[in-house]
Amino acid sequence: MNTPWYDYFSDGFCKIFYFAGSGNGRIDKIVIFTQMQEPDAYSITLGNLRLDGSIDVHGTAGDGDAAEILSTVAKVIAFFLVDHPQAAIFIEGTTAARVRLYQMAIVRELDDLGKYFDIHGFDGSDMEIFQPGRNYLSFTISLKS
Amino acid sequence: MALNVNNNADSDRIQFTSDELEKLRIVAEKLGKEKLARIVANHPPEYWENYWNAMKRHRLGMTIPVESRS
Repeated sequence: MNTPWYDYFSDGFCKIFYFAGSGNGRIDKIVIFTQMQEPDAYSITLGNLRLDGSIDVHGTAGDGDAAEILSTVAKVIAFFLVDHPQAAIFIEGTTAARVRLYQMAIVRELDDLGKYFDIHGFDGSDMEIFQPGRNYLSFTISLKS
Repeated sequence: MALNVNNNADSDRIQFTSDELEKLRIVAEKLGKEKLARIVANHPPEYWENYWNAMKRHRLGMTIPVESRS
C-alpha cells in the first residue's frame, strides 16, 4: 500500500473512526461502521465532519487528496477487521460515481489488502472474488478465511 | 457543538474532549443507521435476498469461482 494515509483514532468501541484529511490537523473525516440485519455484517459510512458537529455524507471524498483519504479508510477497515475478525464489511456508494471511485480505490490497494483480506464484488445476483475491470454494485471485505 | 479540534502540537496526537466524542458518537450512529436504511431501500427485496444468500455461501467457503461466471 504505497499511497500515503492520515493518522486516525477510534472511539472506545472501534465502531467510529476519525481523522484529519488534507493534513491540516483539523479532524474533518469520520468513518462509521453500522451493524446490518445479520450478525457480523457491517455497512461503512464515510462522512465529512462540519464545524457545527453535523456530518455530511454527500460531499466529495476529498479535496485533491481522495487517494490519501480512501487509503486511510482502507487502513481503518483493516483495523476494524482485526478487532472484529468475524465481520464482513459491506461497501456501497450512494451514487454510481462513488461506486466507481471505491472500485478504483480497491484496485489501487488490492496488492496489499488482497494478502490479508477477502474482497468480493456483488452484481445484484451473485458474489465473486473481486476482479479488476468488472463492474459491481457493492463490495464485501472480510479477513481472509 | 463547535468543533475545531487540532493535533496536539507536542505529541502530534489528535484530541477530543470526552463530551465532544460522546455527542459525535450519537450523531454518527444515527447517521450510519439512516444511510444504511437508504441503501436498503434503494434496492428491491430480491437484491438483498441474493446478497444474504451469497454471504451465507461465502461464509461456508462456497463463493462462486470467477472462471465459471465468464
